[in-house]
Amino acid sequence: MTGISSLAGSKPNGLKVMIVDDDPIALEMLANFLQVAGYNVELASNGKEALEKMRHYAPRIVISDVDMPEMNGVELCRAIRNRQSIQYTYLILLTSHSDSDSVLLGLDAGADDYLSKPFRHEELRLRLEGGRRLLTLEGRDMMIFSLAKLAESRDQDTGTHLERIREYSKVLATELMSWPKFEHVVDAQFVELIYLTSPLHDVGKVGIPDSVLLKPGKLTPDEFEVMKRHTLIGGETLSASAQAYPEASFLKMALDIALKHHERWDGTGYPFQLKGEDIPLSARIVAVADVYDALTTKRVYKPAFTHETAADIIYKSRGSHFDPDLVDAFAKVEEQMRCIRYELDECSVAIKKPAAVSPLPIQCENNLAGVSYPRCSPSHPL
Amino acid sequence: MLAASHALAMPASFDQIKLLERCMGNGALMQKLLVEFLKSLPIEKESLEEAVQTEDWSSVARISHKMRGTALNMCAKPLSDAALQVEIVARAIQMDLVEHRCIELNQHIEMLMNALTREASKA
Repeated sequence: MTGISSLAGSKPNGLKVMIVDDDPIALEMLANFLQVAGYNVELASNGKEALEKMRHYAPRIVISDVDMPEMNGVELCRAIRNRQSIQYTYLILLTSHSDSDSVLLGLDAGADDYLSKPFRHEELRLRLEGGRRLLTLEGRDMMIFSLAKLAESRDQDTGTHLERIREYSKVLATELMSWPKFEHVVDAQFVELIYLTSPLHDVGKVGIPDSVLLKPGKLTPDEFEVMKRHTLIGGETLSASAQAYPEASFLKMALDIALKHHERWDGTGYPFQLKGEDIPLSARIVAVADVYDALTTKRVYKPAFTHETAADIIYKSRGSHFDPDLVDAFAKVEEQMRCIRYELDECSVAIKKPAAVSPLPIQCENNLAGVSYPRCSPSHPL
Repeated sequence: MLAASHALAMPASFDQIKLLERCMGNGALMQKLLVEFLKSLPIEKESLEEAVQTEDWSSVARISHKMRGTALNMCAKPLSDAALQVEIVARAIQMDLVEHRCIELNQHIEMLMNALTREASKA
C-alpha cells in the first residue's frame, strides 16, 4: 500500500508534529510525508533548537533523529520528559541505528517509540496512529473529568466528591471482578471505564436552578421533583453524544450512570422505577458509592456521618435501596472505602482515621441522633 | 523534472522510482532533494577526508553515519552500504581498514555524483 492511499482514512486534523534532524534531506522528505497526511509540521535541526521552538509551537508528537550536534535525540527526550508540561508529548526516535543498545537508550530516555531509517511510509503512519490514539485518550479523560468538575462547580459543598466517587466505584468494581457471578461482566476494562465515567453521574445538575441546588435545609416536594430532573438532564445530554459516537463504550456507561444511579433495587427509585438487574450494574455500583459519600460528608442540608454510621445505613438498605451483591462487596472493601474517605478528606469534616493507617481516636464532631439519606434520594427528609 | 522513464537506463547508484515514491509522487520535491544531495556530497566527502587525515575516528564514524542515513533516504543503496563499512571500521578503530574502505566509499560518491549530474543535465 502506498502512503497516499493508506492515509485516506486517517484524520490527523492538523495535529502538531515537530521533526528534529540535522539532515535537511531527511527533514524535507519526512515533512512532505506528514503534510500530505494532514499533520501540521515544524522543523528543527537539533535538540537544542527543538526545545527552543517548543516554547512557542507545543507539538503533540516529536519525531527526532538520534545523532545530532548540539543536543542529540536521547538528550532531547530526557529534556522533554523533565519539563513541567500540562500535556503529554509523544516521542518517536528515528535513526539509522538499529542496534538494541540505541533502542534501549532511547526508550530509557522517555521515547515512546522507535523507528529505523529510512522510514517506511506505512510503518510510520501506523506508529503515528498509535501516538494519536494515546493522545486522544489523554484528551478524552481530561475532558470527561473537566465536564464533571464544571457541573460540580455549581454545588458549593461537594469539594473532592468526584475524586472520591471514582475511587469508591473502582474499589467496588474491582471487588466484583473476582466474583464468579461477574466473571464475564466485570473485567479490567469495566473497572477503567467506571473510574472514568462515574464522575459524570451528576452532570445533569447543570440544569437545576440555584434556588433548588444551593438551598440549605430541606427541599419541598416540588423542589425535590425539580432536583430529580438532574438524572434526565444528564441522560439526555449524554444520550446525544452516545448516539453520535456509538463506538464509544464509555459514553454508554456514562449515560447509564447519569440516568440511573438513583434507581433503587426494590423499584422505588427514579426516574424510571427500574427494579433489580434492570438497573445497569455500573449505576448500581455508583449508587452505593454516591450514597456512601453523601453520608460521610457534610452538605448544606446535613452534617457528616461517621463511617460506621454510613456503613450501617448501607447494610440496612441491602435489597431495598441497594443490590445485595453490591452491599456484600461493600462489606468486603469497607476498610478501603474508609481509607479513600480519609485520603481524600475535604478538611471541612473531622473524621475517624482508618485503623489501617493509624489508630487515632474518633473525632467526629457530629453527634447524630438519627440518620438521613442524601438530598437526591426519595428518602431525603422533605 | 527527472522523468521516471529515465530510471530504467540509470546506473544502479540510486533507485529513482523508489525515490519518487518516498517523495509521495512529488516530482518537484524529488528534484529539489537531488540537487541538495548533489551539493552536499562533495562537502561531506571533504569533511570525511579531513577527519581521516587527522585520524579523528569519531568524526569519521559520525560523518559516514550521517552519509549513510542520507543515502538511505535518497535510495542510494550502494553508497549507504559503503558508508556503513566505513562507519563500522571507524567505530572499531581499525585504522588499517579505514583507508581502504574510504577509497571504496569515494568511488561510490563519484559514481553517484556522475549519475546525478547526468540526470540534472537531462532535466
